[in-house]
Amino acid sequence: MSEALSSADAARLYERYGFFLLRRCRTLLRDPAAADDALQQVFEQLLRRGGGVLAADEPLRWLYRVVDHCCFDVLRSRRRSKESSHGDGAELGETPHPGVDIEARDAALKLLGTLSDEEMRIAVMLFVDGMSQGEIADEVGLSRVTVNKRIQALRARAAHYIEEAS
Amino acid sequence: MSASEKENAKHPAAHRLDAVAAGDTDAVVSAHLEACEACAGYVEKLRGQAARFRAANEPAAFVARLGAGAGAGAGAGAGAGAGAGAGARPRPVRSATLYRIGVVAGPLLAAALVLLMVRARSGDGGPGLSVAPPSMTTSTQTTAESRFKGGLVVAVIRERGGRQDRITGPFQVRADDRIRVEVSTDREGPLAAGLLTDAGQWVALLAPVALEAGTHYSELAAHFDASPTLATLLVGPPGDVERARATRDFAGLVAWRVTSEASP
Repeated sequence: MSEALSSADAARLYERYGFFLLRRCRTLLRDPAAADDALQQVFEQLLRRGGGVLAADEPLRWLYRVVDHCCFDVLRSRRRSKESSHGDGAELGETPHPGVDIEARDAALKLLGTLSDEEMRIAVMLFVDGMSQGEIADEVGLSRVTVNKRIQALRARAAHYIEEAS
Repeated sequence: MSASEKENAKHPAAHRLDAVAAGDTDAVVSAHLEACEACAGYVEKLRGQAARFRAANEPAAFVARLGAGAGAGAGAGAGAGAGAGAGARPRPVRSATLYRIGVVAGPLLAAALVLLMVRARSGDGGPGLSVAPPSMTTSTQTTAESRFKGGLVVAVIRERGGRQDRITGPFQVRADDRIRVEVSTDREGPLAAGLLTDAGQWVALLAPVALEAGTHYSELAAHFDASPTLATLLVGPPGDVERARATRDFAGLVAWRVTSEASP
């Protein structure tokens, strides 16, 4: 992500993927206004240093990583300021991935801001993207055994959260 | 492996399904969609939501606003990207409101500047309709997608009194309605769209043009007046549309009847 992206290319990306990027911002942040800001920030970064997306084999996957980093920054900032989200994912008309457990996903998203960076990445891949353990291990560069341990810990926290909430 | 992890392994990851819904091609995902009802439903739903987003958001206006904002906030976000997460700056929540105003105001201003409508009304008993640039209004209703031969998904956006209805079949119009056509295709190729009146008048909405895979909107909207409308919306390859205009054989085309609400 070192070369600048032209305005025309940014407009083309926005037209094709803007909905999907905003939807992901809303899913992760559970706050429409914060999601709008995050999307704007993503494109500002792309204009400055986003030329790499044009050569990406999977442009949307590449863009999702940028979105995730921006949203994780917002979540970390919220954690520091003890600020909570202003909305609820359910009101955003989300369409969860067919393979995910919706209750666990919602719990994990609510816990997201309390997780470490690595846990956040794994939680999003597992509960939002519906990725398999093998895919997650490849993406984060950990062994499957380690990823499995992290996932079990995340599931336990999500289950505990659901139990507390009910 | 838990039950939901086994379920995950059965379906392509979200970014791949989302990419196909956005208009990208992925042979493996396309094959999966043929066999998996859950994923096909997921993709179709996202396609519809993305189409409504595209209808309501103008990319050039969004990027133009970024250009203005980037100048004021030089250096913000530096260092962040696909491989690094640092650099986000806190933003006041009100910036989101300004963003929405910018996105809406841009197209409205543009529409006001080009409000010289090209009257295409015929005097031979055809429908009272003209063509004009599409306007931006709020989407409020939608119907299911209709998929046609060649991976083509067609919908009509009918603007009526400040609201938009997304229609996927024969439809009725009344005075002051405006319609435009939304075409999603999973392959590159030429397409044309327009209204063929029963009196033989042709009102082009999408001039014959080679479209990339993805979702596209007709560059013109048809604007109806109080005259009775009897017409057929045609969408398809330009050669087939041309033939249909001459022969009224609509085989192989999307052909939806358009009538006035008052007409039989």
